[in-house]
Amino acid sequence: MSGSINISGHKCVYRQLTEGIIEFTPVEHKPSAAKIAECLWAMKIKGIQEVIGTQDNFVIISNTKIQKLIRRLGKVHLKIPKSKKWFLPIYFSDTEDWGLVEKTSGMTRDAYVDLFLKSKLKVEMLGFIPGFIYLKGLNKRLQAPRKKTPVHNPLKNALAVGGPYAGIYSLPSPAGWNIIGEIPIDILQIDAERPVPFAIGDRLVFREIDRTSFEEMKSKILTIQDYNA
Amino acid sequence: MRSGIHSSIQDGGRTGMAFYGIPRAGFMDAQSAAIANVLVGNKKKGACIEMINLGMEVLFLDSATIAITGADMQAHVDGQSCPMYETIEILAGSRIKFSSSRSGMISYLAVRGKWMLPSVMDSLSTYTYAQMGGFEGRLLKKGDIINVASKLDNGLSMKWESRPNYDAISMIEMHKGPEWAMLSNVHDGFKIQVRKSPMGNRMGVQLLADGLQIHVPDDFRSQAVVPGMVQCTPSGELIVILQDGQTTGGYPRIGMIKAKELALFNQIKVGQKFIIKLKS
Repeated sequence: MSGSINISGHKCVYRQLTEGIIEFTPVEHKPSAAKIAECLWAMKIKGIQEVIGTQDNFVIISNTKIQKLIRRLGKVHLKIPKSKKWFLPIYFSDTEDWGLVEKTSGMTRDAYVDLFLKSKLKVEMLGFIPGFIYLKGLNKRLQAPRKKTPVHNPLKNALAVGGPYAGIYSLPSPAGWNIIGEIPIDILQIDAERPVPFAIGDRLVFREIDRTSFEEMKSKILTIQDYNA
Repeated sequence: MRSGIHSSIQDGGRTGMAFYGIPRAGFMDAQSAAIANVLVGNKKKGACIEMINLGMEVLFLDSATIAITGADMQAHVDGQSCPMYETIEILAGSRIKFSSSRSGMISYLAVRGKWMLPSVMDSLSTYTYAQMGGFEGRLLKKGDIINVASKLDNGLSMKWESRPNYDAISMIEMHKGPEWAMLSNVHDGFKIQVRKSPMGNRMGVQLLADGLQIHVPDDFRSQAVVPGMVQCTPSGELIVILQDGQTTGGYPRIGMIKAKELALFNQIKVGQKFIIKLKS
């Protein structure tokens, strides 16, 4: 089953992938599929169990009949909130991946960090694994290839670059991207209503800190909101 | 007293958080868990102890009403063989010992009453990757004490002919996935013999198969995935996303195993040959 739908002025084509799982592809690129997904998620619409946003589309998992769900979605009024700017402290630690990053960029670490701090990075997507953040806007010169086989990353809140993206691994996990730094504040807040404070489209501005401030901030157990207050 | 290999507290799982990459988690075999819960008078999606492959040893500090379902782990209470699929009264000070599974992979121990544990996002399911839910967000280990506030009810038992026989599972039905058409040389009566690789956990399992060929376009990007989705890697291996699985994935989604069938699929032992058949 497939068709098209106008969700609060945003035209999407949809198709049922399998019973209860429907994929929506917005016709326009703005707002992004992930942004529409986020707004629908926040509305807690009856019959919608999960919303998953990716670059090209979003998927709704529903326990309601598809016709009923489509009718319901046709009637919603999406409020798309303004994006915010967040500051994040970053310690560019001595990770093993710096070797490859320096080699592929042809830059020294200092030059790379300088250019990185000037990048205009925006949250493009969330998810995949808990608290993973995809950031777009990484300068072409800063891009480094993803690893063929993921390597275990033991760090929490690790800043990484992979392909066209920068990203944050909120939890230790196998990582295919190159780790270049650490944030001394937990990104994932499982007790909060939104487990990640950032919204799709929000800008992240990194501020470099040294090892001493990194350790100091880490011991204080701040939240992202505290740091930005 | 002894923890087994992978024993954790699970329930019906947490919903609504896939947007943030937090999977539903929950029972690997929701049918067996529901039966165990019904036998002790709990809600179908209530918390149980889930044991995979090898069971644990439990000392009951208080009397309790329990039920065991799923894989047969040869449970013994104080040395006496203990029946499955029926309500059992346990006396304070009794020990129940589970061994390795004879048939199936996953066993459930339900205990009547309310499990006194903090819920995370409205669920008691353990999700070890993010250390959330269940008992301190981790697998159970020797010495853990779980408090269940008991209540009274009458005993029940399930008819023999209704109980599942996991050794008899020889076929799993799969529906076409969104990227089914990327496979070469397949047709509507598609069937393939596979076995589970030992590299599996609650996040996903790899299936060893022969002869699958897939053409993946260069611009294929990450897509949403849910438990039961069957991905095909460029080298023709199949990966089934399970209860603790990631919420997006970069391999084509060639099939989908629905929830009821997935419960049976999860009971199939590593190495056992079985057929995946396309549902027409």
